[in-house]
This record gives sequence, C-alpha cells and structure tokens, in this order.
Amino acid sequence: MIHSDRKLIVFVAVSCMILALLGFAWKQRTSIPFVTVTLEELTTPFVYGSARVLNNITTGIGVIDTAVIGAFTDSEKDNTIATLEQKLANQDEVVAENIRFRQLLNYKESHPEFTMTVAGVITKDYGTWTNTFTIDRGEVDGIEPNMAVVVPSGVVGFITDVYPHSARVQTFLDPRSAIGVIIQRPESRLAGVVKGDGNRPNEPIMVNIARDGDVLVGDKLITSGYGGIYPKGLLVGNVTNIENDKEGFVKNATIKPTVDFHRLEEVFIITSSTVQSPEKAPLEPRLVPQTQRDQVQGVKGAVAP
Amino acid sequence: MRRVTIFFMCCLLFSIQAQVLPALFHTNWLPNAILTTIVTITLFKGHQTGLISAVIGGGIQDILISNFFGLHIFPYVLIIYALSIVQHRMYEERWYWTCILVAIATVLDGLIRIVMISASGGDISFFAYLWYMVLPTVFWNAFIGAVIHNIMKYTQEREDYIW
Repeated sequence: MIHSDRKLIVFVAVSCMILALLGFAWKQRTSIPFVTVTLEELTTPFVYGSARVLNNITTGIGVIDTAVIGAFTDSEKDNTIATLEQKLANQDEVVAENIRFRQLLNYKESHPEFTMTVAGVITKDYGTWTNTFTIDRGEVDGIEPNMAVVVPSGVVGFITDVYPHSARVQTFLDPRSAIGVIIQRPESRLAGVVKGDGNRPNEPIMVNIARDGDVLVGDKLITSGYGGIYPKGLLVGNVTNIENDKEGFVKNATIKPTVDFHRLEEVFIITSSTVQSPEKAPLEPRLVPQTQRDQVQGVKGAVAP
Repeated sequence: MRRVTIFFMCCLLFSIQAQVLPALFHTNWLPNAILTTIVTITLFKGHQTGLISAVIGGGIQDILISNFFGLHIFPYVLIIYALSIVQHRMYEERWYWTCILVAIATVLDGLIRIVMISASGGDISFFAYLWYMVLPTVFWNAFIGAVIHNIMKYTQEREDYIW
C-alpha cells in the first residue's frame, strides 16, 4: 500500500497535521475560526444565490411536469383541462408560499414579547452525525451566538456560529444539543432535558426521568426557560414512547418534534425577549471538611462564617 | 481554463451536497456526493490526486457544511490510502466496479466515523447507526458513483483523443 519511505513520511505528516487540527478544533465550538470565517464570507453570496435559483427550479419543475402531462392529451377538452391544471399548479405554489408567509407573520404578531428576525435556510447538514443548517442572516443583521431559532410549529435550535452575513444554527436534534423542557399537562409539569440522538436523529429523547415521574404517551413538551437560551413556553414535541433505562432507575421518553426539519425554508431568530427566565435558587459555595485534618485545621479556602 | 473548470465543478459539487440533496431527500440520512466523487477521482487519476481531493473535499465539507471538524476529512484520507491497493487494477469500462468500491467506501466511512465519535465521547450505538444512517446511503452513493464514472470516462476519452 505504501510503496516508498517518502510516501510514508508524507502520509504520517498529513495524518499528524489533521489530528492536530482535530484536537484544536474539538476544544472550541467554532471549528477553526481563522479559516471558517474567511471561507464562510467567500461562499455565502454564492450559496445564497444558488438557494434562490434552486427554489425557482423546484417551482419550474412542478409547472413543466404539469405541462408535459397536458401535452400528451390530444382532445381539445383535455387540453383545456391541462391548461387549467397548469394554472392551478402555479396558483397552488403561490398560495402555499402565501400561507407559509402568513403563518410566519401571524406567529410574529401573536408573540409581541419576542423581537424576531426572519431568515432563510441556505445550506443544510445532516446525515452523518451533526444536525445543523446555515441561514442568510449574520452579524450585520444583529445576530449573536446563543439566540433561539423558532418556527410557528415550535423550537428549531439555537445560533452557534455567527459570520458577517450568515450564521449556523444547531438544531435540538443534534446529539450535542440539550434543551430544558417541562410537560405542559397541568397535573404533571415535570421538568426534564431533551437530548438529540445521533443514531435516530428524528427521535430526540427526554432523558433521566425519575422512575415515578408523571409522564404519559401523548404529553406535550414545552421549553422550561432554564438554560438562558430558549424562552419559556415554546413547543418542542410530543411524547411517543416511554421505556426504562438499562439499570431501571430512570426512564427515557422518545419525542416526536412538532417541527418538520426536512422542510424548513424560513425560520425566526429571537433577538430579544421580554419573557423573564425562571429565578435561579441562590447557591453559596461551601467547602465540606473531608478529613480529620480538615476538621482540626479547617478546610483550605473555607470562608469564615 | 482547466483549473477554472475544476474550481466551478467543486462549487457545483458543494451546492449539490449542501442544497440539492437535502431538498430531494426528506430523510434522516443523505447520500454523500463528495465521498463518491473523491473515490471515483482516485480510481481514475491515482491515489495522489485522490488524496488531494480527499483533503480539500473533506475539509470543505467539515468547515462549510458540518461544524464537527475532522468528521469527514479523516475518514476520506484513510479510505483513499486503502483504495490505492486496487487503483492499478481499475479498468475504465467497468462501471460496476466503481459502484462496488463506492459502496464499500461508504460502509468503511461509516465504520471509521463510528470509531471517531465513540473516541470523542459521543453516545453512538454501532448497529443502530449503521442500520439507520449508513446502509440506506449505500445504494444512492453507488448510483451517483455510476453517474460520475461515466462523466469521468467521457472526459478521459476526450483528453486521450486530444493527444
């Protein structure tokens, strides 16, 4: 496989460089800032343009499809029907776009507590392990890291990396994501954490539920507001399955997200919110004496009462 | 002119992987056009060109599409060196060999990624990930491999004709 010493040296050197970059990149959220930002700046206009072209091509394919079907009919009546169907297809596409935009507008107007910016999805990444996508709003539009991203049907994710004219969103289906939730049912209000599952990306899991925790199949989950990223009260998903953990001390619930992540075209970024986060209990650090010496001499660093 | 063509082909490939395929496949998995292209380039042009394309393609995929650096570049480099064993036995007429090798490379890529994610502390289940995320892409990668094989064969024939 490796036929000469020179090739072996090159192979080892390339592998070491890659491993070094791997170790550097895995320590921080942004992969390699001085490379990533530059590349994103260069490619964002191209990607934005090709996304718009692709949308128009998709619409055009639907129109041509109807026209081709109409071209194979030979009677005048059938041709008239085909022409009308073509017009109907055009109108259906416009109506669908209109409905989508109205839903976005209604969602924005029905949540005056949020200041939101709408953004279009330009690239998507899924199918390996991560679950992220890029939007066409960036630093110049006031986008900052850790802003929540939502659509009318529920929570999508949060902003991880911001570039001058684009930003990357990590969805809550990503295995690295965890979102604080509570069960909406008034009798329960159980709080928990939903984590993404890289093995089955469309089935995130609510983990570490107490064995006697009040959770039922069909329960609706909303954001709890803990964590500081997602405001309280946003839809996350519905419980579809509950099963015990391997050890049997806790149980996990499989969630079906309310958002269809494969058909995202526009999203909202919550740039500011008047919804108050739940109050955090004040916790004072207290060192506990662990050894006899600590008890006699006092724990090092302990604050005098 | 050739370099300009290669540059625009790279842009097109990036657009296909990041925009066209997600629009076509509403599933949890996605065919990997970049891996397929790298494997086909290696089979036609040799492992040196394949290694360069693996580093560039994997790097671009890690930086611009994904945000987990190394998840694509490292497996691609390893696969190219494994492919150098069979590269000299490749005959351009045998498009089905390309399909078979792309399928094997897809499974290898998945296995290497499982090891990498496990080593980085990710909660990955070997059989579940292989069944739900890797095996469904094998057929589509092989299909794309057949298409790219014919394109490469056509361009190879034109270059041979010129000389």
